[in-house]
Amino acid sequence: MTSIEDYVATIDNALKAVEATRFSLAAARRTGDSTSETLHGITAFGAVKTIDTANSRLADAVNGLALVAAAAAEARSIAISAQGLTAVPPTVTVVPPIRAATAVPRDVRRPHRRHTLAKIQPKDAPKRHNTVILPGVDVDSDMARIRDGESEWDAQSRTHTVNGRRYGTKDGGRTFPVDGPGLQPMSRPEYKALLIMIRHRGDLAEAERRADFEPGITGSDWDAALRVFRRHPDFRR
Amino acid sequence: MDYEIHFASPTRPGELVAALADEFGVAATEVVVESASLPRAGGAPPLVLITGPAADDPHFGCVLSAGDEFAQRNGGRDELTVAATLCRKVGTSALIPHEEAVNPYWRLIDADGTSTLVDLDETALESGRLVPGPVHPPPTPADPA
Repeated sequence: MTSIEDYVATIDNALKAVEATRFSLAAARRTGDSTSETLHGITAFGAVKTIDTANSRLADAVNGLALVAAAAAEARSIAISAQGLTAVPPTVTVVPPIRAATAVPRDVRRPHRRHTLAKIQPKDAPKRHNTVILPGVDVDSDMARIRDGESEWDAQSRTHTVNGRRYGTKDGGRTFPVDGPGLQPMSRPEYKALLIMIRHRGDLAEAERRADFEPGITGSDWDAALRVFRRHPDFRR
Repeated sequence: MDYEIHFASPTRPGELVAALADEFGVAATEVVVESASLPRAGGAPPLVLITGPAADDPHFGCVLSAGDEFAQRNGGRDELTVAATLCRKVGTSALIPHEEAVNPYWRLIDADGTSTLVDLDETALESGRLVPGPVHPPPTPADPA
């Protein structure tokens, strides 16, 4: 299929041909060369015909686009009325793919609750790297500052840094904590030990028996998890 | 090194035990199979622990856990390699988390051993279930132009 760009290029080339022919025609007239004058005249005529043809096709293409746009608008209108929605003005956004990549995601949502210490559930799935938000961190304030453009954005890692805390971003705006003050990175075995403590509601003797049975959880994993669990509401002294 | 591989719930733990023996030389006596609804209270840790799916989890609820000792036995193979080997052998699929700390996605391994990046359904995650969905890849950094 020939694109509008192709038609524009054809017109451009034809215009260049007319310009060159006009120059040659003037030179032939100056020298009195009637044969050259006739030949250049024929060439110029051909170039003008090419322009006319290209112009005509370009107009067809533009009309075609208008028809497509009208059909799309009608389909949209039907869809809206079918859903009983209020029509909103159609928007046309042209975003070059590479330029779109530079956009900083500011429309962020706070991390999933599984990252917040007091809200972790025993059935939550540990990842290889987990970061727990400790009590006292004002996540909502961090999110507000990100939305207000007050964070430092790293495009490579797709992370915002605000108040010294780093948050990753997922497609759709969901954030997740990475590291920084009040954000505790935990390995998978450490997080699993923490889940066991939470499952046993602070009965550390029972929790430890279970953790000992889990392959992959070491004594140092248990100790690291316990340091975090001491901040949990279920922790009993 | 530790392992936690979430196999598709229809996967039979017995098939995983057999595959561990065939592929990695792990004896059946070195593997403990338990139920998610009735986990063991304690005891000496097995080389490999397989927790069968809970009755209400039809997705990826069959979990294989292992640690350093299993890594030594299998020659230090990483989690993806072990998961792909077992998936091919058993003809099932599995989920493992992505390796990088700043990558929030998971890897879905198919029965042929190939894997794709997936995101997990947040609603299902609320109840601890892993339900994979497509990843909408984040945009790549812009070129200098």
